[in-house]
Amino acid sequence: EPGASSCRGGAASRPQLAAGPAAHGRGTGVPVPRPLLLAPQLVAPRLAWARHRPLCAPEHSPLDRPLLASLQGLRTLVLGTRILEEQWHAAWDARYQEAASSFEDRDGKLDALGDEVERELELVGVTAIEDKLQDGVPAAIKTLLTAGIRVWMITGDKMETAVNIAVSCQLVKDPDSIMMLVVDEKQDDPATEADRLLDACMKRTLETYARSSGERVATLDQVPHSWQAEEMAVDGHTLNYILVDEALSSKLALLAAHCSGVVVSRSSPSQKAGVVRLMTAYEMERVTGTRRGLRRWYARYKRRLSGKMLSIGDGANDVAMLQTADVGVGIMGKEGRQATNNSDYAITQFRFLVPLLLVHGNLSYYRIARLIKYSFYKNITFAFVLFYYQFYNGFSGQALVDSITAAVFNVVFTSVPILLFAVLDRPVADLKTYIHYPRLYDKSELHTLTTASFWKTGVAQAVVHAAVCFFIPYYSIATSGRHNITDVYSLGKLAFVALLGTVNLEVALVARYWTVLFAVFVALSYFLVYPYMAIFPLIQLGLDIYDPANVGVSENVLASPTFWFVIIICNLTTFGLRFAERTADWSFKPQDTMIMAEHEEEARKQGKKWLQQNVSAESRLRLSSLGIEIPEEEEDTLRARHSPPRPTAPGAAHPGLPPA
Amino acid sequence: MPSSESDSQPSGSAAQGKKESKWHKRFVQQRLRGWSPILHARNAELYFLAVGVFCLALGIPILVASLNVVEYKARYDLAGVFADLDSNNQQELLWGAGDEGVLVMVEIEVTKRMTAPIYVVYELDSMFQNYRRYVRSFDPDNMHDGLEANKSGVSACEPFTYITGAPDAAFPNQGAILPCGQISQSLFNDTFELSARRRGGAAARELPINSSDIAWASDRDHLYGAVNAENFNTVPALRGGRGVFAPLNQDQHWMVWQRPAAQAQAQKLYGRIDSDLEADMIVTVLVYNRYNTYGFQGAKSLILTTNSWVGGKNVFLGSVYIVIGGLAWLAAASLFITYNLGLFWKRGYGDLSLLSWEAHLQPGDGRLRVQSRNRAGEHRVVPQ
Repeated sequence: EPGASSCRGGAASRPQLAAGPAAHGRGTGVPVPRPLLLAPQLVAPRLAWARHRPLCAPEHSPLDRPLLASLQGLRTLVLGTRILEEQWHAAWDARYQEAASSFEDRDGKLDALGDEVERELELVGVTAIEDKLQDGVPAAIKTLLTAGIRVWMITGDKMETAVNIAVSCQLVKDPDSIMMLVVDEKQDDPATEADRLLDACMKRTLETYARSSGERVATLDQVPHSWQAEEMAVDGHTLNYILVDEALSSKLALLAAHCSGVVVSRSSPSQKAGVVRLMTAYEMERVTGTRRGLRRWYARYKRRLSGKMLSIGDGANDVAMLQTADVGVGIMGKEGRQATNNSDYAITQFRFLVPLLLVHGNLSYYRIARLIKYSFYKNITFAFVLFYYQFYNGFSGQALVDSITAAVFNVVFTSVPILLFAVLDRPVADLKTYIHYPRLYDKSELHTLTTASFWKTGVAQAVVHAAVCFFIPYYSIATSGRHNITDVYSLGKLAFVALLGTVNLEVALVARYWTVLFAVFVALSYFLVYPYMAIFPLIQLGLDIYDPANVGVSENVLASPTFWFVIIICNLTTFGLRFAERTADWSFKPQDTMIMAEHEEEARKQGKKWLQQNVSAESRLRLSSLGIEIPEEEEDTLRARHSPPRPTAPGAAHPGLPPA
Repeated sequence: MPSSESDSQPSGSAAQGKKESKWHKRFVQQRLRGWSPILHARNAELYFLAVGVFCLALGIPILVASLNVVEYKARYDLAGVFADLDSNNQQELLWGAGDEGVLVMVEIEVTKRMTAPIYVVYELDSMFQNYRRYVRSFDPDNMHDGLEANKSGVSACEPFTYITGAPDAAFPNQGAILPCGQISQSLFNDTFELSARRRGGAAARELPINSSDIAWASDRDHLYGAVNAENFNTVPALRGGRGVFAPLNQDQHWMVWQRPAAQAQAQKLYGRIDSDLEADMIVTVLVYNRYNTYGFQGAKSLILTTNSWVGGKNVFLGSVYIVIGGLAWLAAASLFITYNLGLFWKRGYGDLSLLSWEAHLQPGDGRLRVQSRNRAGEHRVVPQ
């Protein structure tokens, strides 16, 4: 192994040097990646004693391997000293001033002059500054990646710093094999060079795919969308040439879409936004494919629903990016309030993104999905009860339910349970479960708010339930002696109470977390209708309103056995239909959260918190860096659970247990 | 002491303002304790079994009771002289007869014993009393407080507010109608006289119809006032039915009529017979036919029916109970067969290997009850 290869990675103080032609390929003939040089490596040849020695030969250099290794991920400066003669300096300075004001090849001249000074240096020391990440960033990024979220790092930092940070937060696993998409600033034709680099990276990605899947494909767009392996770094200078060219942009997007980690460095605020726009456009293009017309519109529409882009940043230069993405999250930091002022959500630490997405995001999706479906459901049910009646009254528009009762249906009788549901309900009792199992975030398996589920639960089910709540009362009313309730107002009361029971049972059945508050309001929402029926006509009479739709209707309806039998059978039928369907779902195609709920229940029976039971040491560490402490289990309970009682010395640790 | 009270009051309220209640904190922090219901197949089976038992236990008595109701129905609008006429001539005949009406006779053969009270019900087919414009044509203030309530001049009764459609000095009170509206205007005016005789026997026994208590007590006491009808169906050419001559809240037939029937085919209680009818009796119905259903191809029938504890004859409700009970048992049985017997698929309770991202695991790998001592894995996976 060449000695130099072990020096790759880390921060360099002179990035333009790192952008030179690749010193050595990777054996596959692919010209990337090129090595990153550490500051000490750059400085080493300038040291007085190291003139003719190999860079990293550990036996000769004070900048030896262990030191270099320990500098990985730090911002390093190597300090050297050299004593200059005063006349020499005066002469040099004059030439320097001349070069600094030169119009031709100023950089080259300055570099050459710098070289004259920076040689034969005495090594003074090395400083290393850790550019400290916030707490829990690696754990947070790992959690997000596990959740199926693609994470990109876009920064204004230098490439080496950026890659370093990406390594330390686990976005990039192997800095040695990262694909560098960096065009030399001195290149005459940077666009062609960028194209060449892109092609090389794509070729390498294709080969990796062929190796991993055993299937050889000609172009990258034939690779499955979900397959990602390589990691890539691109810098702002290169992006300058790529983003202005459509062909290059689409190549970059295609390539980046198949990279598991992407680092964009030295990017300007507008480039940050440009990258977000580019990837949004790419995703749209991918799903529409060759579709045209209505199918193209539908594909774009579905994509808009299924995937969102989130930007998170803390600085003023992130503002454009935060505003371009679907969701912008600003971190309140030391860099001012520009980011938070322009964001949708503001948090104080990067790691809080995890609960924001995994807990609040999950819950929000679940609750809004149910809220929407249920709101449609209860209104369509009500409307269809009225609609069915039109077939029997010559489509004259006669309402089955009087207007006051219709108004209170939505406002009083059915609003509170679903609002409480949308505030309190959750599929798992312990919200930490979402962070422990980040995969629960992935909604591709869970059809909670798809078009199909909306039409099924929100509409079709409403039509069926409305039919039950209308036709059973309609055909059940019969002259029954003194309590004959065959008039249109009595039928309305029957259908209304049946309907009310049905929609309240529906919200009770879909609820996955019954709090006392919720239970009380579900019960109240239904049972309040009886006092309402009894008292409302009295109020009307008290106000001298003689309303044939209410006065006297309730007392006759409530006294009729037909009413009670109709209510019972309507609610048994609609509840039974839904209950059977939900149970079948639960038994035969359980959602992940259903299995989790069963698991929780079982743990509760054993008197434990189930996370405590299931968490591994690795997860405990991850959760702990995210600020979630899960208490260790008591040792004796562990022992009691895992092994039959066996004689052990008192106080001796169980041999099978890790140290506490 | 008042002074100490006033001293402590501000500090107390300030402390209260700062301190959030325990419940409020739990609510906003999503920490309310709750219960996660598990929809286990076993619970559903028990539920559906119980529902089946409940429905059948209720449905069979309801159905039996309804089947035991004795009901006879006789259509009379085409009886007698009306039988061979077309609808124009039928109407001509009615109009010619005037207030007296056309006397027609139908006979009802009683084959099963009917015990009192026997309800006399008339049925108007295609009546559409539930038509919206018809239902709306009703002014409760008019019928409760009399014509004084109608001073505003705007009434839901339009155009049945004045006899000629507008105030007309030729009539008392400018021709304002009480009770107004189309429901009242179309008041049913056929009358019935019933008599019964034994089959083969000659002596007919009069069957008095008791109409004293057929309307809702609430209508009599609250909805309608003790006001006298005015200008109500007094002009033969403009009237739709009979007049009302008692105070409104004492005319039981009118009050029954005023509750619009929910179904297109209106069934209205006419009265009660308070004596039993033996089997093999023949009830002769004398109808003074005045009400015009011929214009809209309606049908008029008279129904004699007994009552059970669930009301009149209607097998629908009982049948629904039995069908739903049967379906509940079917649901329980199919869940048992497909799930518990494992014919379709039986999954482990809380089996983490069924999580969507654990597809590579064998079912049962993540069963909760099987736990190893290995704490390195995310969950303890032990092959069974």
